[in-house]
Amino acid sequence: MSHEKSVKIPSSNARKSSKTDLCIFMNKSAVFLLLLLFSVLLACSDARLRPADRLYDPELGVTFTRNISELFDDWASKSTIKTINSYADMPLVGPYGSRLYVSPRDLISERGGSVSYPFEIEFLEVLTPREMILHRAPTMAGDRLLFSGGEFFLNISKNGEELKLAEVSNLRLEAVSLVSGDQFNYFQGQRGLDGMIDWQEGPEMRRIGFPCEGQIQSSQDCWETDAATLQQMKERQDSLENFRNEYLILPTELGWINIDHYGSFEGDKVQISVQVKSGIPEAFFVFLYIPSTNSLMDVPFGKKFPLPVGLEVEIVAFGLTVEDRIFTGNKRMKVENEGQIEIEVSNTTKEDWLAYLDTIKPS
Amino acid sequence: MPTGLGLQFHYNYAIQGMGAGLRYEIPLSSTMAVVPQAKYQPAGFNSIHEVYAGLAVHYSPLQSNSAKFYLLGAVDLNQWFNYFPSLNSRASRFNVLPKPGAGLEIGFGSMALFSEVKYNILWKESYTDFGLKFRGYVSRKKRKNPQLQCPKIL
Repeated sequence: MSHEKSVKIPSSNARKSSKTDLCIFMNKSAVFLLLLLFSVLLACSDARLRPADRLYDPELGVTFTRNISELFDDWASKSTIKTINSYADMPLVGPYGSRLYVSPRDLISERGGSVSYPFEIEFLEVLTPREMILHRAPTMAGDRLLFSGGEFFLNISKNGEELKLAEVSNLRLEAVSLVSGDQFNYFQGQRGLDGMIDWQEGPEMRRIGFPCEGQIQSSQDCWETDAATLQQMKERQDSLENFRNEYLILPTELGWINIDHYGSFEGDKVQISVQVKSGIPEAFFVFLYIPSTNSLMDVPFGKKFPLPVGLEVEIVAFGLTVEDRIFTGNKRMKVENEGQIEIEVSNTTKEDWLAYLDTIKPS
Repeated sequence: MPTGLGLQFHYNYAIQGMGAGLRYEIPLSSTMAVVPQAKYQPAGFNSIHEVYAGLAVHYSPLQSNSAKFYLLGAVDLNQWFNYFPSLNSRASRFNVLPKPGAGLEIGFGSMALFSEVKYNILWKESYTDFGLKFRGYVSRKKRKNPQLQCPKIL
């Protein structure tokens, strides 16, 4: 017995000692790691999240800024803003003829409370390439290109407080589109760190449609509507000069709305990139417009992307100096070969550039 | 010395980005190891969409049977997919990034949990990498049981 005890006791002590050593070791290491983490957090910089505000071009001898939002907002078409005092003020009609219907039952306050009249609506139709560029709203969902039927912005507020859509909302947008022929889906947009709107497919695909034989047709099915509403819609279509098509949207969120679908092209593709001929090409904003699909890409500096051979595109480059001088360039071309497309830029005026943007149209 | 295949997650404190990746630890001696690794930070919930691939060297001055503390030096190649010119003038679409740091690994059986703190000297960004490593022997020599003698057929 005494022999057994003399063996067991040291063995137990050894295990305890080993465990204690491990605990001390781990505690020391963990404390060291925490101290290290604390010190590197102090030295952290979020500079990559903030766009550069000044970029010097040694060739042109000017300093560019990437802060174009204020200027572009000033040049872009303005939202229609209307105070709604009763349902008699409905619909709110945009300059292109899109019509919006909303009642207080469709809305809730930021904290979920009910809403009463009056409230204020801000509504914008972004239907042309010029407006898509000026509103920095390319038709991209991440890296995926969208074929677009049109973009819209919708905001509703009461006494300066932004409102939200109620869970069950009948807010209805009869959206005019300048392109025809496609079945579109509903996308929602958020402005990213680079200032461009990025789109994500909305939750309710079937909430897009256009009038058809005695019914409203969605992208998946049809549902009945009364003859008077249908007649009204048809008459209005006939009266609209630019009308190509119309879509019924029941949005699930306010903000940026897009009627698009994911795009893909048939045929052989080549990898291309765009290079602005400047001492600091990354100072320029480059957009690539595809008239046949009403698609607008923003092309970041150095990025390669595939396009089909024979596709007609319009490339637009824009740079703004800190002294508010503008440098622009453009190229209308058919995609033929793989490689880099070079864009010459020169000093121009706001009027000339906006007049040029007006020449770009969907085909 | 066992090699280790690890599944890792990372968090970038400076840009509040997170992602996942893989690493493979190849021991060089009882205290040194090289660790090739790749990690991806997807778009969507991250503001910055990017991928890293690189090599780290681990040096373990303190180790016990089940745990080790190590210092590390790493070089990562980075591609920033949604690049835009930022206030960080050293960042571009393609980057080479030196990262010193330290880590702690706690083993249990054939698996080990690890956690590392790394600092990107060039961009002044700090990361925590953490994950699970599966340890094993890849060398044929090591796996062979010397006690097992196969009978000769002829």
